[in-house]
Amino acid sequence: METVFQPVEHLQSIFGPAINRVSTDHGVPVVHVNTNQILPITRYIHINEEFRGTLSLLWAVDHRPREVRYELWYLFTLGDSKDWLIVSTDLLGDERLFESITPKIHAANWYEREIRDMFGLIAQGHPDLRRLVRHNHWPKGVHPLHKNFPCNSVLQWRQPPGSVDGHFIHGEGVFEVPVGPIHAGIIEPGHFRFTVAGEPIMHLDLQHFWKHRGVEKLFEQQTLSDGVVLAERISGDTTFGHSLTYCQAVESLMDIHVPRRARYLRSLFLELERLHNHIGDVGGLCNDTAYALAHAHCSRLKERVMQLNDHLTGSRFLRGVNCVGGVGIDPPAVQLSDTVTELERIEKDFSELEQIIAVNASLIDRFENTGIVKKQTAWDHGVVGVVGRASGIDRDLRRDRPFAAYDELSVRVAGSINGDVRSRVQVRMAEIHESIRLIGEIQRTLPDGPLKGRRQVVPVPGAWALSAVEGWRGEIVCFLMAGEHEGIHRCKVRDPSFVNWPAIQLAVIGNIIPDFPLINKSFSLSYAGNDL
Amino acid sequence: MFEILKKSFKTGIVTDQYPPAPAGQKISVAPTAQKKAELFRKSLTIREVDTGSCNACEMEMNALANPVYDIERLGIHIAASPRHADALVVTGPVTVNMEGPLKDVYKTTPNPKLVIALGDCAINCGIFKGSYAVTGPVDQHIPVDVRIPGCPPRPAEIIEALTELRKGETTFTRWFRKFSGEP
Ligand code: SF4
Repeated sequence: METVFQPVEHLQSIFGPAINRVSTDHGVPVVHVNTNQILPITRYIHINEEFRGTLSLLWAVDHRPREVRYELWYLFTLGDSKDWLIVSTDLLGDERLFESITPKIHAANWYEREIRDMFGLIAQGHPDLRRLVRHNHWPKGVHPLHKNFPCNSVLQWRQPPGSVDGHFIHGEGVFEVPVGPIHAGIIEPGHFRFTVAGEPIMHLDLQHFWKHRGVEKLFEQQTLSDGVVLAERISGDTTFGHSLTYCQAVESLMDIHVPRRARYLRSLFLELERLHNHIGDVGGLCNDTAYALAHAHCSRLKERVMQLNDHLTGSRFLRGVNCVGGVGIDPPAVQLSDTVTELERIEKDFSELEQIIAVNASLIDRFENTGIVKKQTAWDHGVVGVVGRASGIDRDLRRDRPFAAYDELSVRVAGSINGDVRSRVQVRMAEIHESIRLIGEIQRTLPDGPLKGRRQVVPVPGAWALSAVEGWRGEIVCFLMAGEHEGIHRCKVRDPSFVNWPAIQLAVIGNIIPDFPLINKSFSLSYAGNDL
Repeated sequence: MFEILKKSFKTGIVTDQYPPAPAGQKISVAPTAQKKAELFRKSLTIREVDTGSCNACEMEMNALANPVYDIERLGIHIAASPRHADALVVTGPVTVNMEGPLKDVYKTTPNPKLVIALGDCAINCGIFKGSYAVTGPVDQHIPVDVRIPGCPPRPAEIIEALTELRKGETTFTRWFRKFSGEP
């Protein structure tokens, strides 16, 4: 407990009068501060040597109808200890303005724009207050997460006004290349606007949220135990990761003890998900360098893993496996050992392929020094997951904040320092081997026992829980606040894509447009998970 | 080079090695669609449009191109532009932001064209029904000829649906039979 409170004491000693109250919920310290002090305090947490906090999540809660106030929450992950620290502040009554922290903490950029769009709260002093989620054709004053906004009032599509408000560079010889929203491959929609002078990219402007389906509002129409189905569909390729994050949040709200066997199985499925996605991505990268043969082999291997998923659980995407309290599927021992044997074959197959890829000069030439994200950039923007690890950010929730059965399994975290496409491929490849090793270990040590825990408490309205999972892309974070009648008052989900997308804008600078697909693929971000 | 060849020989042929589609929901092909598809029985070029899916439907579409399913062997190609497409495959509910682009894509696709709604979301909005940002299923915006249900449908099911659609004689074979005097 001491380590958790030490940072809070430190803050109190410096910002004493600005701190209204301090509480601890589920082991996470919450420091409630005055609104006008939010910038100095968050900045202090961000840059002070003792904290070195990265902003992991920033979200707002509308407390209506119970109380007439908005609350802003800032979640920090502290540098060395990897502990969480939450700073929160109130906007009472009809207060709509708060001070932006983006000028000091870059990672807050998209979050604050999102809060403005969804709640109508305006971050004053934000350098770029363009619309993010609400496209230009949305009527003024529509803030969907506002409690007064009914979920079923369907917006109407209107011809958007002519001009695009983007950040552009003008000048002689500078031109723009717009791409999307519908792309050439079978890929999700997103709009990219490159500004180039000659070949190198000078600037990239992203316009996302084409696939905005109002997931966070839809959650508010669900009960706590029914939300799993929706959580599985936040991002199809991270079905298991998202449902696990959600289930864990509900479990801590209801104080459910998840049995050991269920926790082991959760780790197993999570690794299976990581496996098929990583193999697919390695193949995709080879494809983007026109190395079709390696792509064909990788997609064949990916298909084998997906068929394995289907065989184990009845769903190629591991849907319907997670449930609140545990897992709903108990594969017999024979099937598990078959899985491990098959995975060993896949690993052998993949290793051979890896050797072929590793010596392909033209591939290395394209991969090396392309799309570099420096460690400092990654840290400033709070980049997570594979991309972060490839840039030297040594963070992996499986090791740092163990969930499921990872406290009993030792995870070897892959890492690299160059931050280019090649590093990201290397991290992925290392993780593929590690996942297969972990699945083997789980199969050998899988304990017996029940699959589901029982709920202990009925969450009171306003109770909240935070949960985080290292999905295959990176940290998935979910904040869940209970509402009346076991409903959901607020569910904030953050896919790792949301933080990594802005980093792509920096990674492409100085590269040429033909390398963009490669860089994009090496990040491998979700549009659905980002757009929600 | 030698390694690559060795690997390929070792792997052998994997095409068509997938479990059969489970007999589940029936795909629905409008009678007019069968007629429209007549033109495309030998070769069909599809263009996938995502209007707000969770991406799982798309991943299954992508899987169709892998060596195991290899839909090229059935004469089905994936085009990069709607202008080159015979059929549009739409996945996901239509979000308020994608409604415009979807209509644009439909307009740019040359006639005659087929529209295939893939997945529950495209057919009836699935789990996203009732959201402020979802303006409706695909057929509310553009006419849909074929519906392939599932969340997501397995690649084997998609292949089955596409084969079903293209069953029967083409105008050419009918013509050929007539002139060669075959019964
Ligand atoms: S039908 Fe299912 S898999 Fe397809 S987009 Fe909808 S939720 Fe995703």
